Amino acid sequence: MQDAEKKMKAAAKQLFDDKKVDVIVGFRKGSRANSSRPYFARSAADVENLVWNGFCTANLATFLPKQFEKPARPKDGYKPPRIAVIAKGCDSRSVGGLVKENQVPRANVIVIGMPCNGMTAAVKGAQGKKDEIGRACLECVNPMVRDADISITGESRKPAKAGYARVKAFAAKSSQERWKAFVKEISRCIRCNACREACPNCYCKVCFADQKKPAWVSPANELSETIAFHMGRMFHQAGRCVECDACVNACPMGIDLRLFTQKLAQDAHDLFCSVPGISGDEAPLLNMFKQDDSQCFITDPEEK
Amino acid sequence: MQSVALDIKNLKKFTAALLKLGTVRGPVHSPTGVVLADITSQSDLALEYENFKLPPKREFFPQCEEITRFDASGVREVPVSGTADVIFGVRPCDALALSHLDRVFTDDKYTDPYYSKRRDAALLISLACNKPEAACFCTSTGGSPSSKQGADIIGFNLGTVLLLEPLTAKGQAFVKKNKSLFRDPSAKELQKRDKQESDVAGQIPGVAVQQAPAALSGRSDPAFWESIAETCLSCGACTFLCPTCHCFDFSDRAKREAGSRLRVHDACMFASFVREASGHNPRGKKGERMRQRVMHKFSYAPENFNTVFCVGCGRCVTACPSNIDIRETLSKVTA
Repeated sequence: MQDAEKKMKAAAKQLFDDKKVDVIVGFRKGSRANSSRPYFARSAADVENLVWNGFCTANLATFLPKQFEKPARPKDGYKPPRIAVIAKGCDSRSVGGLVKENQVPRANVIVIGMPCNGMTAAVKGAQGKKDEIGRACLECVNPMVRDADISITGESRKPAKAGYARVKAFAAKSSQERWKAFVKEISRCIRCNACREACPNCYCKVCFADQKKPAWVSPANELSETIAFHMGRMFHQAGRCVECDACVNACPMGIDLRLFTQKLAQDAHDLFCSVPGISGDEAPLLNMFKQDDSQCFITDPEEK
Repeated sequence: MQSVALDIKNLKKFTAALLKLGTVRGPVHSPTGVVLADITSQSDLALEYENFKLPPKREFFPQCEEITRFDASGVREVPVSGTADVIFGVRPCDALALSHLDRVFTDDKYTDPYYSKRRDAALLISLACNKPEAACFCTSTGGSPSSKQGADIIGFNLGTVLLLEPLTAKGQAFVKKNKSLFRDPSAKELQKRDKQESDVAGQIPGVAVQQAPAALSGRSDPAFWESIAETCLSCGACTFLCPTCHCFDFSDRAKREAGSRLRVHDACMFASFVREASGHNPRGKKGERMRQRVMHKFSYAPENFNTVFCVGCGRCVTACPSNIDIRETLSKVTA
C-alpha cells in the first residue's frame, strides 16, 4: 500500500507539473487515530499531504458535482475546473454514474485508479478501529477501478461473489417483520442528512426533503417524517446505488442503511440486469423502459 | 456542600428513591451502546460508560416538539410534555452545556416556557468521568471531568462506593430526605476521589480555546473559512450532536382544516439554514456557514454570556464524516 501511495503521489505531482489539473481530490491523514479524510490538493506542494492507506473510506465522487456547478455570475471566459480524483472501485463507479447523469463533464475529470484492499469501516469512536474492513468492501464484487485515466498498480482485493445473503435472509421474512425491523433501525435517525450529503448520487440542488412548497417531508425527526425521508431517498437510489456505503459510514447514529440500499442494488441486478456504474453506456435504469421489463415487483412483490 | 457516600450495594434502594420522584432517565445498555433512557429498576442502570452519543440537551430542548395546534376555531397552546423528574448520569461537560443553555433560554427578559419547565422539573445528577475519550478537551473550555456547573448533584464512581455531592438546594433536599441511604465518606474515600479527579483531568490534552475569542475578530477573510470548510458536506452531524447548539426552526404541519406548529432543531451547516423566501442566501457558501458556527461558539457567546459555547465533549470531532476537527480549526484560528 505504501508503494501504491508513492506511485499515486508521483502521478499527482506530474499532473500539477504538466499543468493538467487545478485540483486533486484525495485523502490526507485524519486527526483521529487510524483515520484518513478527504483533502483537496491544489498545488504540487500539497501533494506531500496525500495519503493512501486502509482508512480511505469516504467516496470522493460526492465532492465533484458541486465543483462543476457554474457560478451564478461567472467571470468572463469561465471554464469548468479540471479535477483529478483518487478513486477506489466504488468511487469510479460513482464518477461513471455522475457522468452518465450529466453532473460531471468526463473530459474535465482525471480518474486516478487505486488498487483497493478494502477500507476500514467508519471510525465512529475517536479511538479508531484497526483492520476492520467494512461490510461493503467485504461484499464488494467490483473492487477494480473502471475507466481510469491513470492506473496505479498494486495488491488489490479479489472480487467477492455476489451473494446478497443478508438481503435474502431479510427478504425471506414476512412483510410485517421487515417493516418492524426497518422502522426500528430508522427510528434512531436524527435527520442530520449526513447520509444524503455523503452520497455521490444525492446532488439535487434542492432535495425533495428540503422543499417548502410543497413540503413533502418536514425536517422533524418524527417517525413518519423520518420514514418518508428515507423511503424517498432510497427510491431515488434504485439502479444508481453503487454500494459504497458512504451513507452508512457517514451516519453518526450507526444506522444500518446498507441492508436497504443493498436490496435496491439486488433488485436492479436481478430484475433488470443493471449494475450501476458498470452497465456501460446504457441510460440510467430509472430513465429506461423496455417492453419485457420485469413487473413482478409491482404485481407480486412477495413472489420473485 | 457536604458529600455523602452511597455503597453500591444500596444502589437498588437509591434507584427506588429516585423512582419515587417520578420519571427517571439514566444510562441504559442498548444494542448501540449506553443511551440515556427511562429507567424502571436498578437493573437497567449502567455505571460504566464514556458518554452518551446524543447530548442530554434533547431532554429539555427536544429535536422536535409541538408548540401549538390550530383549526378554524383558533390557536391553542400545547402543554409541555415529556418532562422527566430525574436525569441521572449525564457527564459534567453536558451539565456545563446545560448551564450555558439556561442563559439562552431563561434570562431576565425572556423565558422559554418549554425548556424551563422541563429544566425546573428535573433533578439533574451528573457523574464525573473516570475515563476520558480520545476527542475530549473539556479542561480547555472552562470545564473539567468533575465540573460542577449545571447539575444539582455530582456523583463520583469509586467502584464500590458512589460519592454524592449536592450542589444546589434541590440536590441538598434530596440527600437530606433520603439520608438513611447514605453515610459519611471516609477520609480515604475523599482522597481517592481527589486523586481520581486530578488523574482524569491530567489525561486530557489542551486545546487553544481561550485564545480563540480575541483571535477570531481578525479572522474575517473568506478564503480562510473556505479552506476550513472545503471538505464539509453541509450535514448537521456536528450541530445535532453538539450539547450547546440551540438553533431551531418552525415547521407547520397541516391537514385539511387543522394543523400544528412544530419547533425543530436547525443546523447552521445546512445550506438552507438562512435561505430567505426570495431565494437569497446570506450564507450560501460552506465557508460562510463554518464561520457562523465557529464565531457563534467562540466569539458571540463570549460577548453575550462571557463564556465560550463549547464544552469540549468531542462529539463533533468524532461524528464529522469528513473529520473536520474543531480542535484543529481553533489552532488555525489562533495561529
